[in-house]
Amino acid sequence: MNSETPIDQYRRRLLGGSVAALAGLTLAPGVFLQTVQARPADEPVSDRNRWGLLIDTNKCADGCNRCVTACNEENGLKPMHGPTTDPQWIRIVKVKSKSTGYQFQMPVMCQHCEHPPCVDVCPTGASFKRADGIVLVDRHICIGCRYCMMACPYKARSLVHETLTDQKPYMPRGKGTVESCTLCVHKVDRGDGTTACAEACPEQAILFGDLNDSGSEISRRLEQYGGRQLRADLGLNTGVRYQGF
Amino acid sequence: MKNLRYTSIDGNSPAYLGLLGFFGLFLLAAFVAFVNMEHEGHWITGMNNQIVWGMPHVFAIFLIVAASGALNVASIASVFGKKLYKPLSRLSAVLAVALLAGGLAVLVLDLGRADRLIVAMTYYNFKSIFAWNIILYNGFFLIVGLYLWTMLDWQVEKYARVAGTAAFIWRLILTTGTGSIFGFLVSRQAYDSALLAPMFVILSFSFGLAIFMLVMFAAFKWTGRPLGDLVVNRLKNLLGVFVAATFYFSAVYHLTNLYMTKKHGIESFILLDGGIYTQLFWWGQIVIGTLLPLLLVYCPRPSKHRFAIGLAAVLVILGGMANLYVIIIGGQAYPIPLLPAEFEYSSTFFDGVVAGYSPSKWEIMLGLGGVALSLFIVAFALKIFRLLPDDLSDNLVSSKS
Amino acid sequence: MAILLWSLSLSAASDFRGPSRDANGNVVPTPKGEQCIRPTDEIRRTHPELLLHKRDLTMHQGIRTKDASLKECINCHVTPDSSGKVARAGEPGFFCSSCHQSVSVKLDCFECHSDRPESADGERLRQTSPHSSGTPLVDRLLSLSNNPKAVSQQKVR
Repeated sequence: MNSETPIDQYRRRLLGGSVAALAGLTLAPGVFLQTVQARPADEPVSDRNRWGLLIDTNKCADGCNRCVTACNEENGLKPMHGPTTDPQWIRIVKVKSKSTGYQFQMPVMCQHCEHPPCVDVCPTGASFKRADGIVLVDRHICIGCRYCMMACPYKARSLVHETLTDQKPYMPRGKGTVESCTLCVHKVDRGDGTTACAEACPEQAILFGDLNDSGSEISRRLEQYGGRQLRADLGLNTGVRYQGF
Repeated sequence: MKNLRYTSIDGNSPAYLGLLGFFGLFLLAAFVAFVNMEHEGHWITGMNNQIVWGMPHVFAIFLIVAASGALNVASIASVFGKKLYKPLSRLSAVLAVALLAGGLAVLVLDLGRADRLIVAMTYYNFKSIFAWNIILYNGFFLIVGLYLWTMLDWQVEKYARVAGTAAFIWRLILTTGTGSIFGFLVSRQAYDSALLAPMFVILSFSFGLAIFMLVMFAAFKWTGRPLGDLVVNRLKNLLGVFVAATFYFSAVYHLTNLYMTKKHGIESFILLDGGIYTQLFWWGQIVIGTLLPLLLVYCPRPSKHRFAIGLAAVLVILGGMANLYVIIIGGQAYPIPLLPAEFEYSSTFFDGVVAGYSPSKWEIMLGLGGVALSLFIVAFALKIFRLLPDDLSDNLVSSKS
Repeated sequence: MAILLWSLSLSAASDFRGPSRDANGNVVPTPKGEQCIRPTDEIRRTHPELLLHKRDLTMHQGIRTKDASLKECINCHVTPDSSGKVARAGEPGFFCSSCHQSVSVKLDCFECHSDRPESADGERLRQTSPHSSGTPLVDRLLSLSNNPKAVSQQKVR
């Protein structure tokens, strides 16, 4: 029998397209495409990118929570046994200044820290940060100890408190493991260049982008207007930044 | 210390078997709780996304901390050469191992994925103090096991001092590690303090000794062995010192926080207006866990009675549980600030409000199961090993010490 | 080892031409594709390692090629049987379950991963499938709602 089996041909078909794309990238070192969608499926993520969000609280409309419902829909989060145990990857926090009475609201989710406390404390390494700055839970090795939930300054994490069925194929989730905002990693990897919350916001208050790319809109807006981090005192260098207060 | 003879107990009396059966009931209840929690998920417990560690962790951490403290009696004998405590070393070491086993059982059975214990043993993140604790716990079993061997087998007895010293150092590191589980948490205002590590070491001294004294009283009394006042008085004085030291650390911890404006919120929550946590702090930790035991062990009149000393030990344990409840659950109940102190918050995810928690029966069943497991192990070990001296009356122990 | 022996003894059990039966007589769903990513005897032996390796690559490095992707396995291997019924994970007619039950190797993939293809077809199947979670343990022990047979009958009619 010929060593070139149909399977080998099949495998080549699967890989073929992406090899060409990889070659295209390496031909121009230092010059990276603005459209980062070009990362081929077989190329590992790298620290060339650092994905983040910029949230403009001036635009965040009072009483709106479209980003929350969009996140729940995208990731298959459903109400189960009540608000204390239901997972929330993103929530609207209403803020009021005690001294001036100034009020605003803002979405809060995993802040995708450069130095994430959840990653530091995780005993098995299930909580980890991808090279491109996205903080994730590897549920395959999460033992459900919840130490990361103790450590997170943003209360960004939830434990799945019950048996789940009918998860989204691209977003596996299950009982007894901890989860949080993935920055819509499946969309990022697909090259959508946005997240479900950012897409859903009617006021464009949420902007997704590459903090490492000085030409990206997120970087330009941060350069122009500045941005602040929640709990900046902790020095975690979050990937989610806020403007407007 | 002439003619010191260690014997095992017969372990065939109805009372002994009844005791094992009594513990067995709790073990069964804990097993039911575990299966139910694992099957249904954690929503059936009182724990949630705000109070992520609950009653099982109070029990587990109490037992783990007490485990290293229970080894004190053996350490004082082997490391510091106090011959008076030598006859109690074996019981001390067995109790230490048993308490650790009970505490770890609770901790492990509460995991969201308890079936993945093997993952916890094979994947290590060495930056995690929790991962280090797993190593420290396993090492404790090994080292105290070896130490126990040197005490039980005359052929290796010459290594007892080395093994005892290693165990003593290890247990100090272990409790430092347990305290650091909280001390390393920058996110919550109640934690994030290096003081928690030495505080847990002191807590372990007092919890461990209190449990040891109760087990010792029970074991000597129920097996009809004489126990002289000399050793009991030494131990009760020691307990008083540990209780006072615990209070000292707690005082320094709270005074430090009170000095920092940013921590005034958490301090007034624990000390003034935290509801159950304030009650538990003042009545549980301070009155029951500190003042009353100190009175009982140091006032000349009550301290002469075995009952008063035993009561003091019980109160230390109750106060200790209250203390850990305030640290572990009170520390989580107080809201986390997202922005500088000037702002207040509200959300659908309980931002800015004190998180509610009421322990479920499953959690309490699981926690008590851990206690029962520890005591079951001790009772069983008394039957299979020669742990207790026949006679510890004053005339026997005083001759040499 | 048991798996190896068992799978070798089953060399002719399934090809890509039509419905086949496993050692228990359960119908193994016909895959959609024309060719598996590896020869049948090889994939039977190595699929755990392939999946494990790919799992780590995807999770930690974001490598999302189709080769050895569990999602792609499901897309291809989870198909309706002759009566139009699609078995759920854990039921005898589910592609993975048919072997795994025989060799008593517990699968927990589908506690988290979807057991449905991700196509539009899969969305439809998802919506019509019975939702069997949330029943308290005691209820489930008393009733037979967790019995695969009961579920399948309920589903057919």
